[in-house]
Amino acid sequence: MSRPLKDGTGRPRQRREGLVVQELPEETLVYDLERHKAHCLEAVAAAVWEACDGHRTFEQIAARAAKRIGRQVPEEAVWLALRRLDRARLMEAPVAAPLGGRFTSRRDWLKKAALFGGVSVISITAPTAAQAATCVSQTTCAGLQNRFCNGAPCCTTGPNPAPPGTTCQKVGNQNNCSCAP
Amino acid sequence: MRVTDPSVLDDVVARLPTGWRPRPRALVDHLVSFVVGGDSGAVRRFHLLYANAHRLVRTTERHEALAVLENHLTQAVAEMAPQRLFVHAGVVGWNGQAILVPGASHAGKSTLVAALLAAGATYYSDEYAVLDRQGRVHAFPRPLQLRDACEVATSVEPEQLGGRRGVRPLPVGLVAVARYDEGARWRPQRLTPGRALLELLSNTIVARSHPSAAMATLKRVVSRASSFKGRRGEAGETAAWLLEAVG
Repeated sequence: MSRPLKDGTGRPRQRREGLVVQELPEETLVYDLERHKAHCLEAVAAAVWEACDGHRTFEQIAARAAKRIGRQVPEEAVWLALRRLDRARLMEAPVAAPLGGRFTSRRDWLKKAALFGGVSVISITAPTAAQAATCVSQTTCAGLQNRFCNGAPCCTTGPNPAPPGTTCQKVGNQNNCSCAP
Repeated sequence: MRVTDPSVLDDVVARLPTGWRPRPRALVDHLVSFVVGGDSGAVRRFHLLYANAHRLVRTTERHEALAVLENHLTQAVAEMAPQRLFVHAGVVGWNGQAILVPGASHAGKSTLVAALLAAGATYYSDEYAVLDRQGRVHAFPRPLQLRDACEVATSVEPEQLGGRRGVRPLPVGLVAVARYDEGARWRPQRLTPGRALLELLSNTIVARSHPSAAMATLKRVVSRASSFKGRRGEAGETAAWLLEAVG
């Protein structure tokens, strides 16, 4: 990991290791193999991310992104996109807003995001096979040895409903699994 | 699949995945063992179910052991199928295209599928969308599992609901993320292909183990299909909207 970029002169570089990338006409899907998170990069964020090769300045990134999406991308939008890409761990090094910049608060960032549009990075945590499958009843979960708790969601309806949001997991030193938050 | 008591075989065979066939070879990829319990004199033995060496369930209720067996076999097929991608979703066919309703258990998929069948759609699945590499959906023809007011599940054949079974693989025309919310009105928002792909991926069995292949297949689906998301109330209203939308 390189030194964090703490001023406005850095040349951001996109992370390449441990990612699966799938491009759509206006968006880019990125799967993080280390964290098992999937990210959907909206048009501006995708264009900015693609332009971050570690050599381009922010102005050059903005120009490159504008060329790709066919409309003007202000430098502020580049910063917003970079901040979100950074939060999603899709950059080599953390990216900070320029010192003394115009965006000093979260509210400012959100206002700008609403104005620019297309800078969002929407993320989900990919489910395990058990989480993506049918839920298990509390009775079934309680019948599993604690070594084999499968993390499946517990059914919140049925004859023996589990509390909402619980999964079948090992709790304390119990021999069998339980539905727990 | 092996059992300790042949009297249980009929029940076991009834729960094997669609398209199963016996194989003479002793070498298997996945071994499931059912140790049949029950009452024998003063001793009450547990029913035990194992997948390879892992115990899946220990219960005194035979029907529960069989239910776990059925779920396990279905999931094993979903995880191990080399040429197919399994997405937790209800599926019907309409005018040569498939409507996918992805969602977790108890999101109301089966109820919506039943309403779509009653409106004339063709039945493909109420549990898994089985996708090939071209993004076409294949039938996963098990009976619908409809829950009554007490949430007790009952198996219902699609023909009982006025539906027919689909056979041919279909391209996906519509993806509808429709979660049941009592009293809600179906006012869906259109999803971009990227967001639709995330919705499908969050219901994909091998999302973690084979993300690259899963995303490639799902990309073909969302590139072609229209996608919507919203909360639905009464299933009939939503079903009519979906059939209208797919055209």
